[in-house]
Amino acid sequence: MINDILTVIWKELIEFRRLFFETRAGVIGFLAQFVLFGVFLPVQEKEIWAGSLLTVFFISLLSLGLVMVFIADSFAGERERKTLETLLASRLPDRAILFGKILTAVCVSCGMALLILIIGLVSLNIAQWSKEGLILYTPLVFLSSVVLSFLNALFTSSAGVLFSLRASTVRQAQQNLVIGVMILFFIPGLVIPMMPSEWKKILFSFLKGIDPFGALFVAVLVFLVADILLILAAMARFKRARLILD
Amino acid sequence: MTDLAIRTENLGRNFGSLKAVDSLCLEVPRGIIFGFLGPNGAGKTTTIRLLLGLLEPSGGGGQVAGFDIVSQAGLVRTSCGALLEHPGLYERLTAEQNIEFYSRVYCLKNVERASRSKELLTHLGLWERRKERVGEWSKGMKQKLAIARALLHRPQILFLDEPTAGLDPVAAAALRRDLDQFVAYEGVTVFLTTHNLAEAEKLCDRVAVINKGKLLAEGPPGELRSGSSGVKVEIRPVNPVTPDILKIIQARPEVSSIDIQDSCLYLTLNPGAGTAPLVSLLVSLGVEVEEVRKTRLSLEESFLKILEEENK
Repeated sequence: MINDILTVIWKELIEFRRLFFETRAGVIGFLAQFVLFGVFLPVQEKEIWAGSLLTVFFISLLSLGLVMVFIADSFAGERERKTLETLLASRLPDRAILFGKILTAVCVSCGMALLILIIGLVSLNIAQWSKEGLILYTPLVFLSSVVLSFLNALFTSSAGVLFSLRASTVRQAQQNLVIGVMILFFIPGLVIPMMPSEWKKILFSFLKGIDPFGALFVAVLVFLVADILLILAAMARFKRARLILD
Repeated sequence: MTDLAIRTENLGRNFGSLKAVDSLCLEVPRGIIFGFLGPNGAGKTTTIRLLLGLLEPSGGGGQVAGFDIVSQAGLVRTSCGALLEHPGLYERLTAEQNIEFYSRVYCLKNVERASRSKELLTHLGLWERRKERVGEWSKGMKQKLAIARALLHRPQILFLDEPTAGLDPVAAAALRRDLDQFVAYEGVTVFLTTHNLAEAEKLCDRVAVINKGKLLAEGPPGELRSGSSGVKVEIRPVNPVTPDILKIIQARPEVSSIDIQDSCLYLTLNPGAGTAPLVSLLVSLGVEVEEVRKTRLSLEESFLKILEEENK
């Protein structure tokens, strides 16, 4: 099983390279992210960048778009490019295909987060070299960034599997996924203004009282539960007989 | 090890009220090219999907390469290669990467992977172009590469779903030639579906005809031709054949069908019927016969006749 998953990852990484690094738009998109989160923000925020929860927020979300594009291309693309049936007719188990594709997205996302964390640290130290000694991330910021990047990539890619398997084209899958994620992010923005003022007060006082460590712990817990549920749903959905009939 | 590569017993698959495959009983001996013929929507692709364990049967069952198609579907797929409706190649990858991916899928060792891909790609004339992306290739080249991919792990059985569909006649002929050579060389059993009956006639050792999910006929192409339709007789008269004479000929029990083209009479005779009494009859009716030619029906004509009889 592990070998089968690695085989799928091997193929997906080649496809990933072709998709993102051999088109001008892909290269510009990557460079823009590296310049913004690896150079511009660390230099602007100075030493705050190394200890702020904002860094965790940015780093854990920065590869969201990349994962959405990749996962839609990986699943809906197999169907659109007529390679799915041949893949299913091979000896690869369903789960090896599913996890191989998901893990590629997660590895790429975490790798990118780590790389940007390192570039950010280098940029920050170069910019602040004469004023301070060596600046490092606080353990909480570094660990939270990596863990949340992982969980967020897992969440987006598992949700992406479910959206992509319902779509007949890559574009449709990407659109559905973007709309889904937007709804998820806009839910608090829509629900909170509609809440009774008493509820709002309770919510805001709760948010004010929560310590950063507690907030991160809750975020990790929520992502973990959501990830497990989504992966189980993706495993139930990604079955040969069902995929062939789709 | 059984002598049968494929065996099905009352294999069936329904989609709602539609019986896509209806109680199919099939026995395919090892080492032959088996043609599976039928019109569009006959159930050919569904049969391949059932045999590869991609779909679960609604009834019946079967064995492929000695493995049960339901409980041992993974082993069936390990023992088989497939070129389905589409080549299924990754067009962003090079030919070499496509082959490498599937050789990893089938757990070929590094040394074998290299030698096998060189052997197959060289044989198919693709070795020099292995570093090119498949997306830039012609359909014929893609089909050849897909055949190489399907044969990579030395499968016992090769499923080919209309491999020459969409190819120009030259590319189709080249692919047929390669396929024929490869099958002889590798000793693999081939389960081939095709619309091209001339192709089936050239390649297949045995053929089966399916329509609306039901098996209508099965046997060697020669047997199918003679068994289903007897012979065709072309009679070239000197003087025109009148409608009255045509009616008399048509009424004869040995005549299955009659047709006139360019004042030439084409009779299809029922199995076992003789030509001489009909020629004598025509002469006695005043027809001056210049030439009589007896030919066997082609597989295509037999196929159409089998379908026609089924639809009656």
